[in-house]
Amino acid sequence: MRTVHPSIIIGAYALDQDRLPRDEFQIRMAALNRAMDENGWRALLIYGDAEEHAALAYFTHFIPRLRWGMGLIARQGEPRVLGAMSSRDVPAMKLMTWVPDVLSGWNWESAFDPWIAGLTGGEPIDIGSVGFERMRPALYRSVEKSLGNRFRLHAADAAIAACRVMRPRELTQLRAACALVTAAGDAFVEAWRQDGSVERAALAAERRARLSAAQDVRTLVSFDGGRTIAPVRGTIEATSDPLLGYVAVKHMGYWSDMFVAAARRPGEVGRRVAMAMDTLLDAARPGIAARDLHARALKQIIPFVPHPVLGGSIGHRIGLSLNDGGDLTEEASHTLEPGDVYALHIGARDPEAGGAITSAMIAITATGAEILHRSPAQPAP
Amino acid sequence: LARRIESALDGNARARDGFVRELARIRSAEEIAAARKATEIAEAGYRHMLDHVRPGMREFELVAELYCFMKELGAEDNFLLVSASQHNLAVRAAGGRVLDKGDIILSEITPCVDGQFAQLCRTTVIGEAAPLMREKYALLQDAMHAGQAAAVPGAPVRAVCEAMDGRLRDAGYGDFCRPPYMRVRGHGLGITSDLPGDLTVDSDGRLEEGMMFVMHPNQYLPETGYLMCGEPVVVTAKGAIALSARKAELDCVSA
Repeated sequence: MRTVHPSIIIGAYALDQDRLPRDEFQIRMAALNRAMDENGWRALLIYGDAEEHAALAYFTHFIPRLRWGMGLIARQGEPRVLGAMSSRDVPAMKLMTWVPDVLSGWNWESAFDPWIAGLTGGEPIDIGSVGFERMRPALYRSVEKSLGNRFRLHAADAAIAACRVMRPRELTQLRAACALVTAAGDAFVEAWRQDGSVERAALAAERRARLSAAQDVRTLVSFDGGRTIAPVRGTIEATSDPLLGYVAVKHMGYWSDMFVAAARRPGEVGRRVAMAMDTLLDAARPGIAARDLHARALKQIIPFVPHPVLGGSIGHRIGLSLNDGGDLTEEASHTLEPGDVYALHIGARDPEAGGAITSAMIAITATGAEILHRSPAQPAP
Repeated sequence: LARRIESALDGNARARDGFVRELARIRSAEEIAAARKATEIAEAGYRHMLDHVRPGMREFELVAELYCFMKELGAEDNFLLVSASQHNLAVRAAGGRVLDKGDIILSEITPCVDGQFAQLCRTTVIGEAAPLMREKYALLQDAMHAGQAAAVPGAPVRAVCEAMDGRLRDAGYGDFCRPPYMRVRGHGLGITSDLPGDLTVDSDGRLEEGMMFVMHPNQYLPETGYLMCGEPVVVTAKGAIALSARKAELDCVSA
């Protein structure tokens, strides 16, 4: 399921050192250094853009509002952050990261070449790259030109993903994001109950979240009683019963999301998805196979079919990215591990009555799962 | 991926990133209509902001109100920058700063309708604006008028920038007509083409009738800080005509 990425991320992103002090990043950089040592990389180039920047944000807290950013991390030596922005905007962008050396990436040769020239040793020098599959060809060619034959680039995405373990301070951030999405979800349903307008309801949710310092808000609504779901399209008077909506909120860099469903006359399909969620929440614990969880949930929605907008998944990891991988599908081969945070989505469709989706977020602990939030319950039919 | 495509095509692929950009440089009637609608929304949004802003609000609260109001009017997206200070260096995305009496609020309001963006640049003072501030803001308005008059079909983009910079230079601010004291004097807006591109003195572009862009002689001045003044414009035989009904003024709201 996809949401619409805005042309610019408009919320505040200054690094709050009360929440994420410098020592937090020292711990994260130590993990990065170990990965570099294990792989023989003298440096890492971590690329991110406005749409996807989880790795860049995890290690530098730099979040590109538009275009791109790149963390230049040397095993020995000072890091540098490049952002695709005017030099005029650099002072404001510096507030986002603990890295003191932030430069405009528009002046590529003067910003990148001297830094990379500072790496010394036997040639070719091995360097890891992260997120380069998202890079535009023109920039990639600039990177290649600057590296020349002195350096050898290696895809480091998998190794660096393994370094990104969920930290306790991140869980605190996620709990705050969950409180915000819960408030937004409540506003969604309250507004819908007033006049049935699904877009006005989505806007009420967005307003609630943005007024509480959300950095980004994504909403989807169903115009056809829950059969399909789509972005707001400017038909503010359109109504739908039952209501099916989705809101995702980014707060202090961390995403939380929620489906909301309500109906003037609740039906069986809503009851079934709620039962399936109960089963999921009971079963979620460290070591359980993702495919097992999927099977248990789907058993509960019979005789209905899984809601097609979920694409065969009942959830995925969430955090610095709205979808951080680990889809819970029939084919999944992974297990849930302590420290994982999952968004759970379970839905069903009834050809007659429409559809319903309910959601929750959980943090897998050493012994079970902490429920971070759950969609508001619907009254019984 | 690019390498694989080139390999599959036997190395004959040539980058033509600018092809559609060039083809769509003149705005269609539908695009102009969407830009007019986006401009109406931007102006309504700015009026809404003037009605709602008050000392004690945080920047992000003001932006939340503004963003959601314009979305309800039909803005599907919004490149919205709003920030405030007693002396601004540039506009930026809203943060947690608490607005105060004497603040100068900078806003770059850019709603999108049917894929077409339109941008207003505005400056608002909380409380009374000092006479010096009014005098300096008039300089930006004057530069804007000079730019609009110079922006006729066939005019080089750099000449339009020179017209704006000339007014600032005449007032003694020639050294400030470069980054970081300003960025560009405007830029294209659109989903199909951003031509004529950035309005800079280095541009090789040339204006054509029907091109649409935002013209903004936004400028840092040492006495006042950064000030913003800009309108979405369409190039006509008489120069660049603003789509906005009310041109940028130095607006004041009660403290």
